[in-house]
Amino acid sequence: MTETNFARRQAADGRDLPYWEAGAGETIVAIVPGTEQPTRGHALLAERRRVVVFAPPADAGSPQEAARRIAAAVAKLGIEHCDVMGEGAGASAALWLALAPQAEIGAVVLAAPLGSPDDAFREMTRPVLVLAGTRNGSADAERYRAVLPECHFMLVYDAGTAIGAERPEALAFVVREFFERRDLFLVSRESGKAFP
Amino acid sequence: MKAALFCAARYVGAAPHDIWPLSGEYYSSEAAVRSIETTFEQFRCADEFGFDWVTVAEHHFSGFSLTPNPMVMAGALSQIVRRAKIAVLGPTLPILNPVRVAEELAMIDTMSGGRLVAGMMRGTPNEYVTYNINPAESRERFAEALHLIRRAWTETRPFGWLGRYYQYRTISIWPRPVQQPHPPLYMSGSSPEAGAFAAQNHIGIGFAFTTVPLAKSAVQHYRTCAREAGWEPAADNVIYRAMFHVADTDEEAFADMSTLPPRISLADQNKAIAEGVRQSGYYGADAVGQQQRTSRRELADRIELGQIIVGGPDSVFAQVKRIHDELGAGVIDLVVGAQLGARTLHSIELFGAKVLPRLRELSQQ
Repeated sequence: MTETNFARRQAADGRDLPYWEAGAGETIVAIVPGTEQPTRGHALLAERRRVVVFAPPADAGSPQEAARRIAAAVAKLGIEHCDVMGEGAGASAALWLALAPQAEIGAVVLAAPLGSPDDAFREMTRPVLVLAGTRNGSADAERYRAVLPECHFMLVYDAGTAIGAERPEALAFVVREFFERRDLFLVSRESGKAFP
Repeated sequence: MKAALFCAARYVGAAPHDIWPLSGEYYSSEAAVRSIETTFEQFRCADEFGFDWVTVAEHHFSGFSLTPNPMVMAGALSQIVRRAKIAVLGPTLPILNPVRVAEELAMIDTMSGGRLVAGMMRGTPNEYVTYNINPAESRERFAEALHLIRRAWTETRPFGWLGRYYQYRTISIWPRPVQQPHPPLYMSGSSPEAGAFAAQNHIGIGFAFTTVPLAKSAVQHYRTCAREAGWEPAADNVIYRAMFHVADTDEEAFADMSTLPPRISLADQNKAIAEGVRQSGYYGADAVGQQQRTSRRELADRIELGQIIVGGPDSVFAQVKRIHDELGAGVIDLVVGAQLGARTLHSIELFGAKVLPRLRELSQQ
């Protein structure tokens, strides 16, 4: 599967945020920067999950406002429960979405978060995994880590700011594990058996 | 210039020196214990006679070295060698668990009060058979493991690692290195790829069982790459390893060494493995040059090429000075070439007493 499997959708009146969608099953809502599109990482996730990708445009307002609009769009789609992945500049909106009291969100992954985290994020009680590329010179992921003291922090080797495009298999693997098992993802379930 | 003593803990019992893997049928535990005791004695002597470092390394399935885990030997040396630095040159990184390597090296740095020198090696080709690792993955595994180890030493909060070869959900090593931000790092600089990687990552380089002309070319490449990366390596960033034997006179030293069997490198002791590793692309772009390093040569040729340093103190000083001058190497890592009992200890003493003080003056010049 590739990113071409994602269908771009938008409400007929054009007032709702556009989004891409692929796959079936429990939903992952991914928030990417406004200029971006679904990556191979999303496509791999969509092999086992329903993935809805939002790319709030610059005029969508603050991350908090973008999160509000995404929440509305998610509700319109009939999604009651989901996990959330915020990528790059979409990280902040992802956390605002997860902080909303009405949201039924399982866990949050922040992939190469960009920007400054809001102090309100310290109130986060959902499991959060922060991913940072080893080739990413930005300290933003560390800033997010600092305001999310209970988060899991994982370095993605040989990745920069676009983990979903640079290490898609790795991203999909760990995100799937984390959303499925939350904190228990720390314990491997992979078999070490060489032969049956 | 600094001097290191590398004693591989060679098996002193009767056993072939040209077979890999070497059958356990040749093994005597009594001889093995004696081999280790001899090694300790030589390291103690080096420490006493002013050597700057003592060096251990990893080799498997062979009487050439009884330190398949050099960390164990280094841990022992941290309590036996009181002054010299403990140089682990090194773990064969691509075949090991890098978190374990980070932990063990941090232990050694702690146990020695911050005297660890950490060399990260790809090892000799045969080592890839030891733990069944594909040698074609050697460089990529090495690079990733090295980056991971540095992170493990320097990250102060738990972190996971999502690598291409290694995956850990959470890492937070204890103990941590005494030396900050981490112990000095070295790696082999023999191949062009390795030299460039070392330069780009601010890592010192070492040469083992090569020739001065090959090393000279490799050092120039390393320095060029380092300049491109915005730094200038110091003399101490370059280690040159060669076998050595010093006696009171040239004649005595040559007579001692004439009793030695010709050296056959571990890489050349098993033709099937050597060929299989070569076919994997292990040697990189300069495969011919890399394999030339271990070609069999006569003693005189080996001396001429700087593979072995032999003679009385004056001759040995001249040979080491040439290495210093031609390579700009700041550390000479001297390999105990033969286990000749009291004559080997005397060789170490002579080097420490009569050659090393003159090498120190080279640095000051």
